Amino acid sequence: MSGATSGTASLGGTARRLDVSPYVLLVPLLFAACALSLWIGRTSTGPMLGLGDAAIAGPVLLEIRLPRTLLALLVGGTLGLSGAALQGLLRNPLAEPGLLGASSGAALGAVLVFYFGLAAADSLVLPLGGVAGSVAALGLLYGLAGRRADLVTIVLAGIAINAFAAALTSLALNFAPSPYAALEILFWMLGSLADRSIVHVLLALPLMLPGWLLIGAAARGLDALTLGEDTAASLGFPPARTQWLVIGGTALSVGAAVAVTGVIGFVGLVVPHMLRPWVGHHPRKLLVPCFLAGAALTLFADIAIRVMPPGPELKLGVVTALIGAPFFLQLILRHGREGDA
Amino acid sequence: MTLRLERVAVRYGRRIAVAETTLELAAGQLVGLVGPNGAGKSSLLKAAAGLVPHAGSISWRSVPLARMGRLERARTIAYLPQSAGAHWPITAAELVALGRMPHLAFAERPGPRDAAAVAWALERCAATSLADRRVDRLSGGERARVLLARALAVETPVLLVDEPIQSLDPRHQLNIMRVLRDSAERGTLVVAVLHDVALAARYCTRIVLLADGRIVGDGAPESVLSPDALARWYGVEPYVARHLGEPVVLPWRQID
Amino acid sequence: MSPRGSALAVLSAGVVAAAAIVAGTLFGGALGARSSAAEPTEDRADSAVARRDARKSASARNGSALPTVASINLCTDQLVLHVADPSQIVTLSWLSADPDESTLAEAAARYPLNYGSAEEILRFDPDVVIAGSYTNAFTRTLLRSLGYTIVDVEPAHSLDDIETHVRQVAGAIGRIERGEELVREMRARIARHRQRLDSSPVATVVVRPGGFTVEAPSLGHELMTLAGLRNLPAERGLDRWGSLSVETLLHNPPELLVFTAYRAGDPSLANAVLAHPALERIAARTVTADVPAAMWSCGLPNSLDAVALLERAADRARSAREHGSNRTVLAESPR
Repeated sequence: MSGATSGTASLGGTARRLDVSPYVLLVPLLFAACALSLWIGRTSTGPMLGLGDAAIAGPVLLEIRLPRTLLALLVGGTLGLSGAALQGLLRNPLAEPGLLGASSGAALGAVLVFYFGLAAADSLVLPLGGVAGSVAALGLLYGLAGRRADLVTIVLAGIAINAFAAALTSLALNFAPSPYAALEILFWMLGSLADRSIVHVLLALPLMLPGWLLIGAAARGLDALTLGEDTAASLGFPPARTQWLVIGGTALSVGAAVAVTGVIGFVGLVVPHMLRPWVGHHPRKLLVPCFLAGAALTLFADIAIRVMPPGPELKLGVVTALIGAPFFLQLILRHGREGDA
Repeated sequence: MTLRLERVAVRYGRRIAVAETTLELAAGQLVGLVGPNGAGKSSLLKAAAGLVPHAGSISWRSVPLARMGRLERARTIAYLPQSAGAHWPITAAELVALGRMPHLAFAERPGPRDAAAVAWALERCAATSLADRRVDRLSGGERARVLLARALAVETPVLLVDEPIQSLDPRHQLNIMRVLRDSAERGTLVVAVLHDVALAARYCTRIVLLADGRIVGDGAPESVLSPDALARWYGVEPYVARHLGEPVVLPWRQID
Repeated sequence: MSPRGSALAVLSAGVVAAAAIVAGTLFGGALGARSSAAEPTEDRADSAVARRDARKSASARNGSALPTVASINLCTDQLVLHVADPSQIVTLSWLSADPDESTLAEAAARYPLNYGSAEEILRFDPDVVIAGSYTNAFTRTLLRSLGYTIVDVEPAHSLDDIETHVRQVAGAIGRIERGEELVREMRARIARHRQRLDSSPVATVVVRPGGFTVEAPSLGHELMTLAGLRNLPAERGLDRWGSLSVETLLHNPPELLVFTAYRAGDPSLANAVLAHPALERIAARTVTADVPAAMWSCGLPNSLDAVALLERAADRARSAREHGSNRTVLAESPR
């Protein structure tokens, strides 16, 4: 009756190929990434190791590299977390944070700030515009879908909001006050962590934190949804509650992230897939590891940008796309092979 | 210990799925909810499970379900939906373990009590050997047993199942009905929506016959599923007999 | 090959192509920067350090010194090159050394180049940073919070703006006299051009990449007016937010067609507009001129060079007018 004993052990979910907790790898990896991110800088002649001239080492570390590292951590973590939550909620491996319109709403808010010339004066106004945009997108989603909406309605509403925000963003770009402004907007939308200060960390954090907590509160409900909406409700986790917790948490945290860094794609999509073979499929178990892995991935991508040959900095969104797309390809390949087997 | 449905009605927009119904179901019964298509059986069951809004009130041991917290209610009533399945490729044991969720607090890890419940549920459904197998790789019959085990693992006094034996082969149909009957005999109130009149007649201790949202028959199987009732509500003529002390009611011929 | 296989092949090819484009741009950019520099990059950084040390010890000796200047914007780079003493300049942005972008590329290439990030500027440690008002807001704010003085220069919309900006930069870097000298020179040149203006300005349309034209009011418009040209689209309100359709051009044929090519060798949709067949037919029967984009994209004292170019083109257009036909005489190109 080996089934009985292993059934007991597998109550919390068996580990897969490695019988080891994911934190054993992820936490040191994240530390290493943070350390590297603080140590590696970028000058006109290319990457720089260490802090350089002692006179300016303080400002370089505290005001340039530390905020950048922190922001990469927070934004990457947010994207990983919300990606895992959304894939759990929608029971669809293609779900990602941008699906509900939070990213495009935040992007539109920031673009409008550019458009009305408010951002040139003070770069703090830009993230505020982004947050306003993502909250507006959530409000619109709620208004379109309604409190009792089912998942399909919510996804459709998210698609509609994305399309609308994209259209308005294109319109704003079309009427940009100058070609310089248009270029700034375009580059901002590609996603970047360059030259962000501690102010941006402090601006994003008060919105990200509650967002994370909302998603955390939905964790058990996500597990319950494994068995479908009716069973989840009967287990004491009404799907509507789980739904709005995840949506609200995503809108807050991802909206704040996009507002500060622009649109960074693929992290939320890819990180849960990377961890599932290891952590298992229970959405609740994936949440924290995906946060850590998302943070690590974003940090490494940002470090990769800094070690490029001298020249203008690559945009972070470009690098994450270049990493994410091939990973996704091989995922498809593997899935196809398994299906045929 | 009874589940009392008082003037319960279910409407979907303008359509009345279940007209005002009052029903008292006692523990230790396997109650078969039967009737032709569209009679409102699933709607009534879902109302009892708290999944659809309804008029009237439902109470267990005189405590209205509406007044219970959602986890307390989940520990009172377990529900197995019609086309159940798991969205993620988890193992059978993990799936059954999900049934313990109403018993666990927010960050609480499953303990030996929960492990025991899972093991017991698997054993009841003869699914212990399936524990480490991936659910998406099980056959239909195996999956049905695992899903039922999940419902049993919640260890509730009330178990509601919606068409648990659809698309199963005869062996597994008998298997599941046996498990349901055993649960009833151990004191659980089991209410099952069934299409199969023969199995309902044989295993259920009480039959509630619904047609057009109303109860048109309530009582022992042989009396409710009489040839007259079947002719009137199903439009079929049955073959009625007894075999080895159990009733045989087989729809035999269409009545024009 | 199965449909899935071919789809994957196309996707992979796309990804590889994208990566190749990125790599090519990066390495091409790096090569370009190297080739346009007089010395390899490491030496330039070292010489910057050496100059800084020399300046600091010089100021310690003299008790007075000009503030060091970094510029992180293409237009301000060139302003700084006009106004500053060479010993003051610590770094200029990389675009200023690109002949397609900058009229002073050779001069700019002698200095260390920056890519506009705060950490770079921190290492150059200038006394003053000059930036455009649309330069990356994050960089400017961060530099301010690090204690640097940043002068934001707006884009120039008129000749008066150029004077203002020259004075603005000159004042910020302690070269007020040089600034006044430049303003005097500019005014003298403008006066000379104004004297040449006659009563028959030439109807002109400027065609820029992407189908854009010169709006009014703008710096380009003032330069045209100073050269004795009538900005036809502005006059008749033909442009829509700065862009002019080829069809509108067909209905309003000018006496002079001015092309502003930007990176004409690089393929782009914007440049493709300049090669529109209808446009080419118009050009075949009109006097044309070419003005490089770098000459009037920034508001600089040497933007007046464009006026000289346009004047010569206007003369050709007038003689064509007198001869009763408006056929192409050899299109004059400055290069």
